[in-house]
Amino acid sequence: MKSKYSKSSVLITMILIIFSAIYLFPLLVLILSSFKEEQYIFEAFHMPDFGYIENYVKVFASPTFWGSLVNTLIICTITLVCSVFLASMAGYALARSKERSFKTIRLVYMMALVVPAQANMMILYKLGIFLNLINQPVYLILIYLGSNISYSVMIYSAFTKSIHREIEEAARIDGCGRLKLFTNVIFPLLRPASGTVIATTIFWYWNDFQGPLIYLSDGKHNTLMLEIYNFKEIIGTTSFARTAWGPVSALCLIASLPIILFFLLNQKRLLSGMTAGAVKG
Amino acid sequence: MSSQRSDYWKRILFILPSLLLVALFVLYPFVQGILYSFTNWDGISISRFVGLENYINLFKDASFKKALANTIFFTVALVIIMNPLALLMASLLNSKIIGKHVFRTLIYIPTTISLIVVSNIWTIILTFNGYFNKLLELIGLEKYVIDWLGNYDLAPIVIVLIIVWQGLGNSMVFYLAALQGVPAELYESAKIDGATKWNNFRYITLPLIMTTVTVVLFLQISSMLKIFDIPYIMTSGGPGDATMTVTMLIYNQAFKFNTAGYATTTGIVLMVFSIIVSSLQTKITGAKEVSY
Repeated sequence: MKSKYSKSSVLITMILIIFSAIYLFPLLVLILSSFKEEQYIFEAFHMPDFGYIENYVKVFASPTFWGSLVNTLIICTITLVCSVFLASMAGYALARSKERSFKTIRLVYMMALVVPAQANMMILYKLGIFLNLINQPVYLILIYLGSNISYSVMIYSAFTKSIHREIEEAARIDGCGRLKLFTNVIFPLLRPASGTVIATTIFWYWNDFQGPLIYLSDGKHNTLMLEIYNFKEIIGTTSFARTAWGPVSALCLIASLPIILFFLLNQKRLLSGMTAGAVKG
Repeated sequence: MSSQRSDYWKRILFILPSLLLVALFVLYPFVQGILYSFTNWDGISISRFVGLENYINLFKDASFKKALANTIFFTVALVIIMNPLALLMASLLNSKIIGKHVFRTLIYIPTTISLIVVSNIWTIILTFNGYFNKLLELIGLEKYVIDWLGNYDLAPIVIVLIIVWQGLGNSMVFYLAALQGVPAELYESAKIDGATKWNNFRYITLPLIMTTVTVVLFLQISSMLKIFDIPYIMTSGGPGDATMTVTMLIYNQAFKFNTAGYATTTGIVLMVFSIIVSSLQTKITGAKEVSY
């Protein structure tokens, strides 16, 4: 009995090893391409010289590269911090209120959840011009917050409901006000919810392409993803208007490594947080 | 009494900042968009109110019909290909093997990468003189060598397969979490009754993971109806209009053809369509959910 059982698990392990290898082959292509000279890019069996860093030199020499890296970091950080604070407060208050006005507010968040960003694109572009904020990273942050905070509020509201009211009542008897109660008692207890919110949304902000394409279109404040797009169109082309895949691959790798590392370092919490969020939300 | 009142206002204050953001950046543009969809707004000025003209034109518009048909094809093909594969991978990972977390992590990695990076990787592989055709030549299948992204019939399915590659990890993780929640005793007693593997899956596993199926399908469908990045970067909707999607059409209408009023009309129709599809889907799969 025991040997049969381990035989099937050996088979499954083999299948998984082969599958993973094929599955991750495209990423290997990206790594190899980033070290290849242009004429060898499509030579599948050409082993590149990993000392050839010309492609990376071109990426770092782009006048907008460092700015786009800094922009991406700033946009992600500010958006995440703001949405964790604003959404946790709102989600908590929503879950602990029974008045009719709060039920209406909940409905507003639910409605906002189903409005797709594309329906609003053109109006938001005009609003950006009107507010004199178009092509400013702060405008992208505001749009990210507006369009995604309903989701985060719902997650926090669902998690708040699983916190026992007795904890709060005890604190209130001790004369603790709402704000102090929230910052000292509730917010720490909502850490799993914060984990879920960050785990799900950080990838949206880091990897978003359509938002920067529209709202940061003048190219003065690139994000990394917009940098890839513009780099491919302008610097990353050879003389015959063909894409220079070597430097483009190097840039793609640089733009992906931080988020892949973030995932690998936090994967356990990210994956469990994500599925927990979907079930509660 | 007054302390209760002040507590009420405190709770309102807790909500206010996020509510203002939603109002300004989601609800206001939405309402404005509905109003503008009845005008001939070109992005700069409005000269007249056109009633339902935009809507009537849209439903006669061949480019919209094609874009909607493509979007529906992408969505249906993705759901059909992705779910059996994700479930299969999840059940392989749910068996007693060493290093299952490593495999789970590896398969999830493509999900963390930006769609623009994914597009570039696959362009290198699938372009005419790229890796894939080289591989076909090597194993003697030269006659199948074609321009995978330039073929009118094949480009859409190639795009779907790339999206499956990118998103498989995400669906798989949800299914894995669901499978781990199915109590092992149920399988034990089914085994005594002599149930086959398929019957186990059909009558025990599937009903119990239906809640997750509902969530996963909802996520897949709602994101596929908005698909933009991969066809925009890899094929720009081409060849011809083979991979043009509704959201790309909206982008073009708004920023390339300067028909902003028309673009908001398309956006609203897309939204109504996604609400109908998603609510039907959650109703249908939701009705099959059971708890024990």
